[in-house]
Amino acid sequence: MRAYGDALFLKRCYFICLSGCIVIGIAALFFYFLDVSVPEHMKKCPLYDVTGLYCPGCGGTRAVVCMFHGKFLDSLKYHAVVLYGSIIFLLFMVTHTISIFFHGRYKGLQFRPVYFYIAIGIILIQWIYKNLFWIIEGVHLI
Amino acid sequence: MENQNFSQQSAGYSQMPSEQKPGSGLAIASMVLGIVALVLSCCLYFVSIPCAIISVILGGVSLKGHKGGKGMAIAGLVTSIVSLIPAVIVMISGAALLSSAGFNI
Repeated sequence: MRAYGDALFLKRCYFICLSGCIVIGIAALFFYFLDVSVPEHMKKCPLYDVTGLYCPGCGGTRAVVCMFHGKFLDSLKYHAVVLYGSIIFLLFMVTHTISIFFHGRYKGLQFRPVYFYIAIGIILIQWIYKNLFWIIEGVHLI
Repeated sequence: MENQNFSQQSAGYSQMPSEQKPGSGLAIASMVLGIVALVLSCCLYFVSIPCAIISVILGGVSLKGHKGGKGMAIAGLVTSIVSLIPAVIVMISGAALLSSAGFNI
């Protein structure tokens, strides 16, 4: 497997991800304590509403909610890429934090295109699979 | 003699080829934007369509310039083109619904 990116590139990615996590964490706390309600039209997927078919992102929000509640199997069922992406992201952050603490003695997770190819594969396969199940069997998987 | 050897070794280390080909950043950006566009293709189509267009441009530039990361550029192109399909369907159906409801668009 070929790795791309030098140490500086990965370090920049790490700090961008860290700042992103802090911003998203603050936003999540803000929404949790203020109890902001989501408008009705934003709760439904427009493509599902119009055509009755699932889009590539359908089930993503429910998968995130299930993951944060510890229901990992349900999360996989709704949208597998959420759990896959979270594991890769967690590995990246943890290994690079260790690498920074040990002054680069241990290498963090390298940037490999194969991680992204797997994510694209999961998104496309689950999208086709859910829609085929619905069209052929008439069963809503999510 | 030892000094000469040392200088040759250090020169070899500094000239060691990097694993990253020049220009593969475009391909990486194209692929990441393509994935974002694919996931947000219908729920947030107003974000997805610009992401997909930028991804197509970056992927095309990367492929045409024979720069590094050909596979990633192709992945970016494929994901962005696939993501445009649901986004365009949602846009057209939304416009049709609005016009049928009497809105002038």
